[in-house]
Amino acid sequence: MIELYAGVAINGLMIGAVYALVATGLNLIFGVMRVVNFAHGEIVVGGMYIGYGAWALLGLPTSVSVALAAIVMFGFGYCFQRLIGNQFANRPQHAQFVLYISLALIITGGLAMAFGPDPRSIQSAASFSVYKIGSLRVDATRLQAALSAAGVILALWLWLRFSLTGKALQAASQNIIGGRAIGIRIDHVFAIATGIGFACAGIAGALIAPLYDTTPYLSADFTLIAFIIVIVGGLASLPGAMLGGLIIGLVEGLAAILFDPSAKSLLSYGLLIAILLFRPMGLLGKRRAL
Amino acid sequence: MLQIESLTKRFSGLVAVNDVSFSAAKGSITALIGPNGAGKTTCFNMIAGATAPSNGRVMFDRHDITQLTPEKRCDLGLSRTFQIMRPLAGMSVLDNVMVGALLRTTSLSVARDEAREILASVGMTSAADRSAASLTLPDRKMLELAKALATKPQLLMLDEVMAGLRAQEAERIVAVLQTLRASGTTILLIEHVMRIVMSLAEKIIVLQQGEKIADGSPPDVVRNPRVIESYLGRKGAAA
Amino acid sequence: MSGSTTTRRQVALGSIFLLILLLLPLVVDGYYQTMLTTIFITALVGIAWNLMMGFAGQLSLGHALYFGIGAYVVALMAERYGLSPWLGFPVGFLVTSGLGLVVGFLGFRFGVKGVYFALLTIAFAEFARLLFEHWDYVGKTGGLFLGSVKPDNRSLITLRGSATFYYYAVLATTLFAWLWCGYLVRSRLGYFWRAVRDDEDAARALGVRAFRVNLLAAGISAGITGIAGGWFALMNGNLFPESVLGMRVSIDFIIAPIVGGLGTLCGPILGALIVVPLNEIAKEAGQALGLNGLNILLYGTLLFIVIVAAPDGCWPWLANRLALAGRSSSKPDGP
Repeated sequence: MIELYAGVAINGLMIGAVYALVATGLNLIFGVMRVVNFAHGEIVVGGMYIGYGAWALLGLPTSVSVALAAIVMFGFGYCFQRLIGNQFANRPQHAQFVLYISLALIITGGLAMAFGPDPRSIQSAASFSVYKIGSLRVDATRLQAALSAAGVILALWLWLRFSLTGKALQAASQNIIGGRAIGIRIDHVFAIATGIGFACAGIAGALIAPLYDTTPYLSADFTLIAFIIVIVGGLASLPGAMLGGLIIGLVEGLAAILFDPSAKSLLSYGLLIAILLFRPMGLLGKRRAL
Repeated sequence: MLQIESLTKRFSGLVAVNDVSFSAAKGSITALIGPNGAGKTTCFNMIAGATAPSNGRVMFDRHDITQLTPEKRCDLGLSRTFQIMRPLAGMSVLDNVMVGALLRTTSLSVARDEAREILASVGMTSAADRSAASLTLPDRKMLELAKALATKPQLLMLDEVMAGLRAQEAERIVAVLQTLRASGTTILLIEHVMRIVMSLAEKIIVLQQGEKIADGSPPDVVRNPRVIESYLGRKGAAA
Repeated sequence: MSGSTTTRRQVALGSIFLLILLLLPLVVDGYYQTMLTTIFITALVGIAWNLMMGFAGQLSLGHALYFGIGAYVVALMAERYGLSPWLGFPVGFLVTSGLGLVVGFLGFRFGVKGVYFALLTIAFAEFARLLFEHWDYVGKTGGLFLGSVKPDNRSLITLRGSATFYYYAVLATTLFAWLWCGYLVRSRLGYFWRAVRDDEDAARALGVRAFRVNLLAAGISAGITGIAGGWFALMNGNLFPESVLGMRVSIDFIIAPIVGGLGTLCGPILGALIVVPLNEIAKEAGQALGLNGLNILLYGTLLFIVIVAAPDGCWPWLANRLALAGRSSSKPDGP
């Protein structure tokens, strides 16, 4: 019995690590630009299709498709922000929200037209391999996805802390006007932030492509999960995204065996509402961002 | 009319306003002056209810209003303008002024008539139907004043309504304020234009680094050595 | 004054538009009548949503909550207890406006604003959807079905009937809601709404009870949306949590008022007239061409164009064309 729970908990934590990567992207965009990317789940699904396409058309392994997804989504995010997003920097909040909603619809519609509504799945021998740790059996693909996601998050943190551009990004998130005053090219920095945010989502998508049946309509679930995580962890807090991702992964996993597999999100939304009302800055958020 | 007792505001360690007390008599004009960062606007916000004080009381007409929300204070007859002007940008000038008037009447036509009267009294009749977002700086200042007047305040609090105006435009406001005082309205103002403060106010409170350093009639305050030293210095000599 | 001639023009053109709508069922068949009824329902929700967003400045992305609950209340009362929707609609209105007040109360009392408020509304709507998907009483994901209309059905009692019946009934409801909202936004309350929308602190300094005024907007908006949901239930005959409470429903409903023009009374109607037929056409074309998702792509593109190029929406432009704009400055709050 204990082993069952332990197995579920580990599974939950592993998927939670990937969620954390998705949420980190959302959080980075919010932290720098104070914009909520409503199309985040769509980018994840885009990454999943890249993973699927790379496997189905070219037989490429996940490691290559992840790199591909990162490059494509970074480029997309950078261009989107440069061409359109930056014009919205001074528009009211609802206008920014609606812009991203429209982007979400365009991506979902585009993917549905390109790939159709039928689920696409990657079937390879690797999907069946497991690691055995004592009596625990851990799905190999899932573990690789979790470790890669954690690795990307770690690399991103280091980059933000130690690279010049990363520091500029952080400065911009502290104070946009101040950042401009010390010579940060704000348009460029915003575009970089969006690019990295999109890349995080794209990488996460490519990582989980072997685990899920990909359909265009998965996107809303991913967007909502990312929202829940960043609110629970704290908007604009990167450690918060990590913690929130693990919590939500764990909660969903345990809820699925304790109650009912389909009841898992119910608990997440309950958690979200409670956090919004009683600790709107999130578990690790310092101050109200807005 | 208005009595402030040991008002204090601390922002995470920083003391913005420290133990400030003063009073304003009915039908008088009191000016709050001091260098930038002296705590004038914080003091103002505490009196208007936009910021909660860490310590102290605000008495209005012998009632303790320290715990009241801004809208309740407005009911009691306390009205304020904002230093950074806040016209209701999606509405016309007339509509802006009507909002304040609608507090006391449920009739739109009564409110509209009152708003027109108030706009006439500040010389803005011709701008009534324009969008509030399209106004020039002096007109925005006038609109701030008109909005506050529409609530028919007993105590009118003005945060730098004359800053950035040319002498002529400032004179218009001074005239309005004198009429108001004559009709019994109490006025509390933050102002930088010393010439106007000297000629208009019965009483001047000087703040410096959150503390009150002088309180008295204009001639007394100008003669006060601490004021001359710390704030009026050059300006005082020029005045 | 040119104001009165503008008003006369407005009334004249409005009457002609209404007259056309009244006569239209004589010349178009059931299919188009149903599509027009869908337009009215979309316009009705749009009017309600716009009251909250366009006039009171609160972004709700969870209006499916009120639409879905309104639909379920009317349907359950009719189907499980045999009660006439004449009772179901008032109950639905009370329940949904109550829900709107609760969500609003929690949001405003706890200072949940802007993006956070939008996320809170999504959370409540999704929570309700998941709840309904696990609740036996409402049929879970399997849905809730209204029995077929009996041969001796009397539409005025059961409020069910032919496409033509729904057409006129929903048209009347929408007209009523439009007039009511028109009255409200021009009333004292409307001034307070717009004041709070433009600057909450400044409005409070002028004595406006921001909290109460915001709550009223949330409650009224939710109630009207619930009524729209009720008509949807009666007309459709079946309800699924995903189809009335899902997030896509909330998103779809905000497209029409934004395309039509935020903060205008006619915007949601014009928006619905544009968006619903477009969606239908795109759906059919998508099916014919085997292109699933064409309608979503089109929705997204339309929304994108409007928000980038014409953030005020189509109505202000059309109103100018028809010389309906009253004051020169009446861009956002004109008729």
